[in-house]
Amino acid sequence: MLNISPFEFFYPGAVEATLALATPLALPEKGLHLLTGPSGSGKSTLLSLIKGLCPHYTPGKFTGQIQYNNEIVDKYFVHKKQNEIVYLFQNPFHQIIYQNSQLEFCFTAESQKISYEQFVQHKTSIEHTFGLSKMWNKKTSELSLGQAQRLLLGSLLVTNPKVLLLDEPTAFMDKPARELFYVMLAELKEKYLVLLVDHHINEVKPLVDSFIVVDQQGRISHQDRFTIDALDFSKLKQSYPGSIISEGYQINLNQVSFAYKKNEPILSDISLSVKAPEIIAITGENGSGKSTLLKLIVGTLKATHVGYVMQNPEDNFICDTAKEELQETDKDLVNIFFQDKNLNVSPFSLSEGEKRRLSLLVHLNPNKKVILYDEPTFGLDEKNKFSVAESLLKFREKNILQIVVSHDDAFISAIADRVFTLKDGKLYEA
Amino acid sequence: MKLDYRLIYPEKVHSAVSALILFLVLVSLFIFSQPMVMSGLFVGAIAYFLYLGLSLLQLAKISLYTLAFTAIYLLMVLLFPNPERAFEASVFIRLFFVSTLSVSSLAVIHGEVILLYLAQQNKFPVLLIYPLLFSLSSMGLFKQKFDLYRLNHRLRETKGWVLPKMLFQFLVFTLRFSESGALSLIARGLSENKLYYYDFSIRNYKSQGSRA
Repeated sequence: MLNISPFEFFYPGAVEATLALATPLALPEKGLHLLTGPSGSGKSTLLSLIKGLCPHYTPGKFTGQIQYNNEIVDKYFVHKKQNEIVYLFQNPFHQIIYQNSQLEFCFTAESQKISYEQFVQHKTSIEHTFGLSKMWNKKTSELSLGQAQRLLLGSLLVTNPKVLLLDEPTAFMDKPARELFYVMLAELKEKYLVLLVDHHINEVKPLVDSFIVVDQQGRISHQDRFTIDALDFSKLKQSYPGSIISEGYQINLNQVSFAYKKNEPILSDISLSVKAPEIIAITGENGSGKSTLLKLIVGTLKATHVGYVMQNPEDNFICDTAKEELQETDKDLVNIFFQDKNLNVSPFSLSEGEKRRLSLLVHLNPNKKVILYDEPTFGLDEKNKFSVAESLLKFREKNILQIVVSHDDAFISAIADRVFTLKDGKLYEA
Repeated sequence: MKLDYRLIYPEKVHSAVSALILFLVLVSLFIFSQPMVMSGLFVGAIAYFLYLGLSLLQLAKISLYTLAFTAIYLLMVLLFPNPERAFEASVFIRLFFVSTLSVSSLAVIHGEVILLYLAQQNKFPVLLIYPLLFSLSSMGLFKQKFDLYRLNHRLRETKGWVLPKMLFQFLVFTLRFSESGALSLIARGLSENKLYYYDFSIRNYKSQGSRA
């Protein structure tokens, strides 16, 4: 059904191929195939090639051919077969068109000329699965990243496609939403061809029919089995026990409440006392107010004392080159994360995974007393996630107070001294 | 049969009609210079906006701002009079009326609905309207981004004038953002003959949804 001939793909100006396939790749009509590989290896580019966006709408040189049901995927195909291959991008806010959530949900189906009767058939179950009805009275700009991703995924699925290209759809989903999504994925793979990029490999592995592995050099291989280099997060904390130093930096929240709109409180009566060198983790459903809580804490602290690693890596960059961004960062840490990497390049030109690592490092300044992290492991593979966990534990040894907002349970249990859950505006200690 | 768009805009229902009325009143304010005629047009338009959902409190706030704005203009005219042209009260009144009406209209006229109306009626090409809708929906995101950049510079103690640096960051963001927006429109299948499940036509614009 989907046939990809051997190819090489070059980004503009690149001498060496960014992505290369040596043997033909044929994928059947149904099934779930996991695209896996290190961050920045070219998984998203491969999805873009299959959809036909690359190289027809984004620049690059592609030497091979992709066929879907014996039709060549080209510019004409992209226009005529929209409803057969759908593609969910990595960052949901870069795809939202309307301010109104309900119109956004309808947009894909309307564009692909799905009749209203057909739309309604699928709408109810998708609305229920992704909890979309809670979003109908919100503007799209008021949605959290996780909510926006669910809304867009729902909008694509309602068109009843044949091929799903999903680029990290679960990245910002909390665990319950992720479990529900995997249940739905198990049903979808019985009917459709699904190509999935997902870093929660252990959770999705039982559903996967085959693995498309992209290595660091961009070489693609198709495998029936895939073994993950097992990194033991559970013993990490024991390796960095941390010496408790007295008189550490302390933050006390006393009955903090906050609302963006009248009568719609996001946080109510939150009390919390944390002290360096603790690592505190805050979890909670999408849109529960975790990022808002972090921003409130940042806003009240002295700039010299606090570092804040923002959810979107690009928001953290203020310099022309990655090297300049890292001027105040411990050089040993830079070597751990960017071994042999040329850092005299724009931070925006790095891969998504590299941007994430850089965004962590720019705030890991030894003078900081407290560092707050908003989803620090988003877009990272296991190896990089492990490095991030290690660096947080190293910083604990330097008597730095760290507060982490994350959905990643393995990461949280590896690093956190205390875990809190934010639910209905209240903070509960787990 | 299409759905009534007031189902998804229950609070703010406004119309191409109100946009048209605003346009006509603004043009008339520039044609007529008699204070009585201008006042009549202004009061009529404001009464219509109040009917559509503009609150008296909102109107009072807007009027205060626009009054301050026109007072500055008046002050400048009095301090630096033009010897070749006598002061005209009608200019001051016109400025106040036009600014008050324009700002008030933002509370009752929803840009998204107007653009969708234009697209649905084939008044404007879909391929022009949708990039505009995309930018309109991004305004909230742009504000959030700017706040984050400001926060980032504060936390990293950037020296010197921060605004140009923030603008450069913002420029990089908007370039990448517009590219991915365009790709999203293509990937989701936007075409000239797309369907609309909701009806944005003028006949549905009677009054505010809650009153309909």
